[in-house]
Amino acid sequence: MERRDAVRLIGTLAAMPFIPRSAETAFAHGERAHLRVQHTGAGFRTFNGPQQAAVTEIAEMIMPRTDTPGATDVGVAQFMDFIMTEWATDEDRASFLRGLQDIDDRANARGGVIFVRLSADAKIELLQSLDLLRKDRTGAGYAFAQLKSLTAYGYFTSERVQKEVLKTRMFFTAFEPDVPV
Amino acid sequence: MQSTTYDAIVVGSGMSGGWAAKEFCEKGLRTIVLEAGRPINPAVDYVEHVPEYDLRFRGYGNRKMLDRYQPIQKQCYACDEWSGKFFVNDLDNPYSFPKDKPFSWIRGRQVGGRSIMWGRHTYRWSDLDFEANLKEGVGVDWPIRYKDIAPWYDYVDRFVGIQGRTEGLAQLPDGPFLPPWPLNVAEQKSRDLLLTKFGGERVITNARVAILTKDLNGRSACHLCGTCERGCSTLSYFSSINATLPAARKTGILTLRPFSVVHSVIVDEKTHRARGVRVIDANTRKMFDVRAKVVFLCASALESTRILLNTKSAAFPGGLGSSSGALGHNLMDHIMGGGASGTLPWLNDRKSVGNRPSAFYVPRFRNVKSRQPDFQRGYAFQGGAFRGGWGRDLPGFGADYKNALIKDLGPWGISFYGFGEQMPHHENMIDLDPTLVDAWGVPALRVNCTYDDNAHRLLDDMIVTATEMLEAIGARDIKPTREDNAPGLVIHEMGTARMGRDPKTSVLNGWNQLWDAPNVFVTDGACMASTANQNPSITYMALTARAVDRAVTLMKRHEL
Repeated sequence: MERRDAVRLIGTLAAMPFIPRSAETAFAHGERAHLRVQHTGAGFRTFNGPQQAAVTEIAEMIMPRTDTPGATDVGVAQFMDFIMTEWATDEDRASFLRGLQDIDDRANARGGVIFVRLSADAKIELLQSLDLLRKDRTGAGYAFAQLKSLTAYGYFTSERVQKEVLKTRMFFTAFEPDVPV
Repeated sequence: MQSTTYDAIVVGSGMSGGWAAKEFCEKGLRTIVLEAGRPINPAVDYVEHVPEYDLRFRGYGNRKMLDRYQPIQKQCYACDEWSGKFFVNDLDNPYSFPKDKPFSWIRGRQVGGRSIMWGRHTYRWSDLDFEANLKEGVGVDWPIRYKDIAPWYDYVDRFVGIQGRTEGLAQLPDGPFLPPWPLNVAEQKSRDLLLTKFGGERVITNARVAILTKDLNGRSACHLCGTCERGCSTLSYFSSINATLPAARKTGILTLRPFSVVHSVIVDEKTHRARGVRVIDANTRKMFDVRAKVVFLCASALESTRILLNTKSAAFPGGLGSSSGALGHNLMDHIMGGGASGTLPWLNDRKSVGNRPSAFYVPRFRNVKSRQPDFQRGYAFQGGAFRGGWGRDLPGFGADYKNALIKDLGPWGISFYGFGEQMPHHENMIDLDPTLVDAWGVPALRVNCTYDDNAHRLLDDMIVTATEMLEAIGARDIKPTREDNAPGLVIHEMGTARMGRDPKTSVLNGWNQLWDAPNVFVTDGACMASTANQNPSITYMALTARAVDRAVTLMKRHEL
């Protein structure tokens, strides 16, 4: 959790109208506060509601849950929002958000709805067409390229994927130069 | 001003300073090491085992902070979210350069200096390098030859612990190596193919690195976690913190004083002998003197010369060591970033296991046996063969895409990345900026340095020969690379107080002693009269150990 979210959550708790009488009530209150925070987009500071929905869905389409976790399971959309908020330049962020808008515009041109309202097949078709444009410097192709690389990075550097899927090792007794794949 | 007296002062606690401290202390001299930066606590500061997910930016780094406080330092690959703390704050440590001549001065001010984040490659020089200036009439002749430094290379190699493969190449002398990590299967095949196709002229050999493959002097063999520049809890790679400073401390006569910014050398105007150094406490900003019989400047090439330039007196108005007119001149750095990469169409069913932080080295082969008409001197390649894994760019998305990134390693990629020699030029120089000072009020440097045409021709040739080698091993998708880096970024800055045979043209004699003040020694990169193409640290270490031995001999004879 980002410090800012924690502060927000603590703020919610501090606004409690009564002092809980037992640990159970305190816990239940905390749970409700936590759920409220989740549903009002805790972890998202750059993406608005529709952008969150689009980014979350596209990330899951790039790295879907199979026998291993998917992008949503490891919080890739929140990671992307964090990078766009705290790391990206104003220019890069604006360019990415314009590209996201361009994805919706293309969805509209195809099916008369925004991306998340397209049929499953139409979503796949649209992303396939964008994958061919991933060297573009602007627009939907650029946004999809960013989504792809941030999704892969956010996914593979997450604790769960590092531990459960990649089973990353940091200690080796020897360098083995020639091992069958 | 308070004053304390020691036998020896060592300025700087990095690669050279650590060796000076160890050698002086082990010879029984009460020694103080003055380090401008903070102390390092390995238990807290070493972060090599911290995974991305435990970092706020997951390894992306705090871009806004880097842009604001480390706009120069961030150019170095190692100044990242883990290791950025080992690099200086550029706002506190300013220097100037002409707009059209950028210079990237990458610095580490802390106990251990840059020996914490160095690249760990260690290659000896040969007489091909020590004789080049004389034979070509370039700069000044080195006052030493391989035979003078060879025993000291042996001496430091045995303590440092250097892995390597004995090759018997005249241009890259072997040492008492620890067994190297083997080349991986793709590198071994590439080596075999190149040896055949180039008749033994172009050799892929195991990188010679200061990383232990066997336990040595209380330090453990490397466990191949792979990110040395973040520190090393098992002390497996060589740094002053991991090796020389603990050895010095063991003697019980070492004083290590961090937060001690050396301002200048205190010189007796009559005898031209140093009496000590003037220091600014980095925290209190109070100035004080430290006195000793001998002063070793090991603060890094540019910092040591800065201290000399700032040591102005009636006898030496241009700074101590300036009587030759060479002080501050002949600044050099290697030139890097020419080469090529490709993919290998074979051995897709094989992989290697373990994260080697370095792989192979191709020793210089230009102007070794045959002469090149287009350029003088030469270059070497560092490189390796690796499989891409999840970081590679693949078309598509969805379950198949994900499984491909998880399960397929992708083809072997192989790269050759060149490091070439830069010639000494009087006009490549540093002096004190007339107005700029650092956070402690010490005059800042003004740097004026560019690569010459010869260096650019080396860069061009790196692309040609790297491509030839990739073609010879059957690589595909060959991509030439030609970086355009400002000098400094190789972080092999050398010269500005060069050694020589003549006090009229050099700053230091053949023992790293100032001609102007014989109890002042400079044993870091400042002393270099040329750059060769080898990574220079091991040469600084050998020269430092040799110079301390000389200083102690002279002190015993009461000649210092």
